[in-house]
Amino acid sequence: MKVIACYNIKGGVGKTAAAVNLAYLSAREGFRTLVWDLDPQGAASFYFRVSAYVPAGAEGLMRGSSLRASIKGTDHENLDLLPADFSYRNLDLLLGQAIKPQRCLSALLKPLEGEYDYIFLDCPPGITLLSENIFRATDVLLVPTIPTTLSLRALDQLLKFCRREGLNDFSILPFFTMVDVRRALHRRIVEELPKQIPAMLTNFIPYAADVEQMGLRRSAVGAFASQGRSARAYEDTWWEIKMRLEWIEEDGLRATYAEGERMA
Amino acid sequence: MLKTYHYALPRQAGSEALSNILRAAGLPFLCTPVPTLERCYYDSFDWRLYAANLLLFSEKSRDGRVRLRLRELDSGFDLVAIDVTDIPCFAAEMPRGVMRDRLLPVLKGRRLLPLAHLTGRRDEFRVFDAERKTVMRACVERHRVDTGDRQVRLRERVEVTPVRGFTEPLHAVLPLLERYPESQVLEGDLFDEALQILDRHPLDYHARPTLKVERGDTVGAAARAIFLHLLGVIEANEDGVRQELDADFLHDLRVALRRTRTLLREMHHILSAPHFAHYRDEFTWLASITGPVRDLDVQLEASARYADLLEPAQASQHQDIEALRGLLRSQRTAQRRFLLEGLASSRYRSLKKGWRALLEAQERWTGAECDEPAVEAALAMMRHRHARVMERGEKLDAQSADKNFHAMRKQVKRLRYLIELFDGALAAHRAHGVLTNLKALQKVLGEHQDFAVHIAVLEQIQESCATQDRPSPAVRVIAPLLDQLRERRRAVAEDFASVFSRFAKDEKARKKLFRVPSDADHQESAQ
Ligand SMILES: Nc1ncnc2c1ncn2[C@@H]1O[C@H](COP(=O)(O)OP(=O)(O)O)[C@@H](O)[C@H]1O
Ligand SMILES: [Mg+2]
Repeated sequence: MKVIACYNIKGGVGKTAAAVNLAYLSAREGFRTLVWDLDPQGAASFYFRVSAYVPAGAEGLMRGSSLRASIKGTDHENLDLLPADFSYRNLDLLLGQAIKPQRCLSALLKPLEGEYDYIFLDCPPGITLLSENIFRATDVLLVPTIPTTLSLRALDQLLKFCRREGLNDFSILPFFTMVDVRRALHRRIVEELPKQIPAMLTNFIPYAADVEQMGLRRSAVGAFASQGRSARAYEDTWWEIKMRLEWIEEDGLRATYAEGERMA
Repeated sequence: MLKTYHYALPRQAGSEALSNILRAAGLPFLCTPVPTLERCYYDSFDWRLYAANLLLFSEKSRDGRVRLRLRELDSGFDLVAIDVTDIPCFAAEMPRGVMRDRLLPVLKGRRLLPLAHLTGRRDEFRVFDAERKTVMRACVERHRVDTGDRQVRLRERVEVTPVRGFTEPLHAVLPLLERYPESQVLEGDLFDEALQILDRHPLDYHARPTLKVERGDTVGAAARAIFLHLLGVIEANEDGVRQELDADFLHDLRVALRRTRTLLREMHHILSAPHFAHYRDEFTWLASITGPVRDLDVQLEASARYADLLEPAQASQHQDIEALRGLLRSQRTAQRRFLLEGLASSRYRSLKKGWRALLEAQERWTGAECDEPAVEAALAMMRHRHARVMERGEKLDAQSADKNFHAMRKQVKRLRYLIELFDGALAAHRAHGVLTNLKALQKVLGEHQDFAVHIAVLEQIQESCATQDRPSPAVRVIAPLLDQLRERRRAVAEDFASVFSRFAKDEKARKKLFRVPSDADHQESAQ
């Protein structure tokens, strides 16, 4: 079982779009896949047409017993969802009361080992106690990044934070989203930055109407526009992530992170 | 547990009835007909997928697309589906991905064989909720199975599959289906029904004898039953050997043959002397025509790893290894011709026919020798064999010749076969301790034998190349390979002593094994 968190300090950068579309591709290949919609806003749940409601609430889930019972099948084979719930907004509070406040999420995911091949965490923005839990539970931190100066600063902040906290046993894989190739600045950043940060994925997600359509279609782009540019981009990105996971497995976890540090 | 529910409805009314039921339950749905489909189920000759709770089938749609599906047998849930252009014969030939990852450890080198061909159609139903989210799936399957000379209609079946976390529609629909006039709950998949019509029985092939010798059985009856089973195994694998479907057919045939020969030797006294001599010679002949191909199979498989032995192998050595493998392959082709001739010979036919006639003539398996209780006789055989193993084992050391190791290995194998054959009579838990040590012993000896065979084959190639004007480039790589193999053989020979002493010292397990079992033992093992 591999845990892949879609995370960024910033909101509106394509975290949910990435989690939903990549999980869809993983399931289509036959991997048993789960998406956990950790954002109380419930965008991922919405895309999968499941109501953002967990009867046991955040508190119930934290006790572990009702986690499995809260999982819902999606419209796609092999793809399940653990929905969001409004009570997730209190997660930091609940985590703070736990015995090991930073390791709750890993403990919760542990029993799902053997049941899923990939678990995607769709994370809310911010650096909070929940994010620290995420850093400790995940194998890979996928960081969708818009190619603007401000977004790059946020990425920088994240890398610094992880270094300061000694969080180095997972791989940070940033990649560009919402890339508008008609804009010179976007083009320049997309070309230049991967040279400075080798951990950066070489594939990126273009700014595309298909992705915006997901809200109307309430489905992954692969399910309604599989031949489109954005569906292809997610496919290439997913392929690259799997390759990176293989490398990481072979060379040890830290390689990509250490490389990511260079820009900091 | 989430699982698929199967129903048969009367008079081919499935789709209409299901639509009515869904309407009655107030569930919005969409029905998509999937026109003519050809479906084919696959498994290995020894039912590995079935035994692993898996069902593999292909579906070819009218537009020529072929989809391969892997389903969990008991739940009916689809695990993976991939599009393929040709049906792969082996798991290793599948495209990289989940399907291959799931199948390879189960099937290993066994070939996928078609089990049942179906043609038919399906109506697929999706049940929605207010968000147009799929909350239940159902389908109506209508198929015929091809029996070779005709098409037999299978019962139309309604299959209902819940979606995780959405149980309400299921609870609404299942009672309606159950209450539907003349409806019937079906246990098992379409696959099970097709097999029934084809008169195929899952798991009906076992390379190992499955019959257990019971207390009260006579030696004659037990031997006869085991021999018959083993003859069945030999015959069952013949065709696969002939068609060269995969290497396991020959392997299984050889194992059954070896067991037959072991038992024949152990039980020679219950056959008449001329009978014994005749079948001993004939089975030895059969072993001699089947052995070389099997040895070369093993050798070829191992030769794929020759480059690792020479690590780091130079590029030119890789080429030389390829040349060597080419030589092995051509030797195998020659040996195979010899094997096929043997299998097609009247000598082989009359061996089987005569042996079966003898086994089936019940009156020949009675009389003073045959009527002894099987358990006591088995114990006597084992004691005797065990003494041989000890005798030979004590004389062996790291410097012993290959042929002495080989002779030891044969003794160990015979003891192992005996213990396994009479497992039931011995009460399995009692044989366990001895078996563990015996297996370890067999492993060392097996490794030794493998190296010895490799070395012998390579030496022989080396020799024959020496007399040629333009020897194959393979000869260059043989010397360094031989060095490595001899080194490894030596290491294994040195391991032998400690493994043997563990076996020899285990007095407790041995005493347990050789004690005549009491009623209490049997009650215990029955539990
Ligand atoms: N590649 C893209 N092209 C166009 N619009 C996008 C793209 N990725 C995301 N969006 C849109 O941007 C908004 C924010 O995306 P989302 O994935 O929800 O971000 P986050 O989860 O980081 O807050 C959504 O309305 C989404 O439809
Ligand atoms: Mg989001």
